Amino acid sequence: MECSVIIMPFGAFAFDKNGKVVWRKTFGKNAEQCAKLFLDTEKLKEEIKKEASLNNIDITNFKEEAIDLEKFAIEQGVFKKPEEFSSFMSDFSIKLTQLKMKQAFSADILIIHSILALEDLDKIINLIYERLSELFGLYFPEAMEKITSVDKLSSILSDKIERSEIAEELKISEESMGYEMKKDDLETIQEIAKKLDGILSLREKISKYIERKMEEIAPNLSKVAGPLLGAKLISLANGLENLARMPSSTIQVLGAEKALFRHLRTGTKPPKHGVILQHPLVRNAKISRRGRVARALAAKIAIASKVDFYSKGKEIVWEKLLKDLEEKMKDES
Amino acid sequence: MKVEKDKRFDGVYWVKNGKRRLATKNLVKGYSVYGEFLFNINNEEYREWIPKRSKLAAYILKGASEMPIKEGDCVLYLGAASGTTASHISDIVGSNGKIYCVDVSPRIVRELVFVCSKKKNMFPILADASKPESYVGIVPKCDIVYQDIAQPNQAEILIKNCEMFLKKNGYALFAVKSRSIDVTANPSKIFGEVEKILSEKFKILDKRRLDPFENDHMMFLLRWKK
Repeated sequence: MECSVIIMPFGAFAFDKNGKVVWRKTFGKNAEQCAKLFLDTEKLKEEIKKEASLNNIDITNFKEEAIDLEKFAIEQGVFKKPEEFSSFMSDFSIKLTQLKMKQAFSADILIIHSILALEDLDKIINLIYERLSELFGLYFPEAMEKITSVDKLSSILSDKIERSEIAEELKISEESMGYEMKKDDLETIQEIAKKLDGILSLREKISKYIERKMEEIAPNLSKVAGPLLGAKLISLANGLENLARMPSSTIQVLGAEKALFRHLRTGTKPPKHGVILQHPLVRNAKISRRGRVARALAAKIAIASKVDFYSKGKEIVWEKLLKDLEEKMKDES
Repeated sequence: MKVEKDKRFDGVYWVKNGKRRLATKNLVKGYSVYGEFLFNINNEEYREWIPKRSKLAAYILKGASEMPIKEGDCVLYLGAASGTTASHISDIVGSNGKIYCVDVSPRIVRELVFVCSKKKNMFPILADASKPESYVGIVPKCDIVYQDIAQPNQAEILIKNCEMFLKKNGYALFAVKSRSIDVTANPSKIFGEVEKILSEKFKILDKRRLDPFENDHMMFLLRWKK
């Protein structure tokens, strides 16, 4: 007999031409088991087809039609009371969603959050560095004058704090116009320096982690754009899949949304580049050529991310892309 | 503190506590979904309904002509997000009603699952509303389709879903965000275009701008022509 089937959370029902149920296979009342079946509907359809044919039922199609599930379930005697159906549906939908959630994220979400964490750390480092240099400059302004980088300040101060020791390290005179501080004051300053040193090494670790992760998920993008810029692009596009689907013109201005929408709204000049300005090729180009370089680079990034996403990071094409890019740059200059 | 029923809409209350606040009767006592106030009056608990957080509340405050959602209704909610508005609809339809909450973002569904496990008449579905065939076996024919999603083709998605899931003469509530259709265009022009698409399939019963609660939003109350 020919009939069409509707798959419902509690079972599959075969209907004949007049809409009468001629065959059914219920999935039981265990919501968790029903949810597991629903996770792979293609497989479920196959199984139902097989089982139906054993019972001389020929399934012509699976109907995509919504019906009054509650009424139908009670008519068919799968559930006795409406409350029973409600509580089954609640358990079923929650379980199915939970199972789907497990497969919903891919590894690029880790890259997105790591690159954002890196940016958060940069902000924190700047804030603490400002405060620390202010405090230490109070005590030994002559030394502060000599120290120019965050790394240097935090590494020196985390093991030395007395004026004499620091003067020796920096080879300057111990004489100072600085404010005299007690041991307790200096120890507090040193405590801040130690924490700053810790944050700097954490930043280093996360940046290495992003490099490893990019190499694994998007090797071509990582080589063409650089691991950190590549990660930033993934985060701006909200996932490698989205980035792979973007045209290169969008990639070129990712991160310059404000300027782009100002252009669209009021007709000012469009932006030439977004975050890809961070790439040495763009940054080191003459200002008049930056737009052209950014366009060429964005095109290569678009190809790299497409290859990475659709080959799942297995195909390697970055050498050719970089060579092409180099030649293009030669032609232009 | 005093509470009174809304004169026109069932399940909607006004709590008077110096200020007049919109509220619904809490289905799960002691549970606050998104940090809203709970009021205990005469052994009943009421949840404050904040118009800045929920477009349906904003629509009611702007003077909705009709509120189709009633006790015992079956609602398909597209773009449920973390369940803010959906939880109030859950209060209104009560334990005999059902709400099928569809959302595509797994990050936000994570919170929705927690709300749904407390409110037993809300069912979470992690799916793309523009592909209704992916949840066709799970969602039945519904009395009302409520849609609040930020997609350029919002109107088409609504029609597609209504064709599959809306009962004969059913209602649809449709929140349009003009900025997600085109940021640069004038909102009134976009609303006009949306209305044109909708009027082929629906009878437009009411439309209201939601400012000052939500900028560039319009709520449509629609009735399926089929």
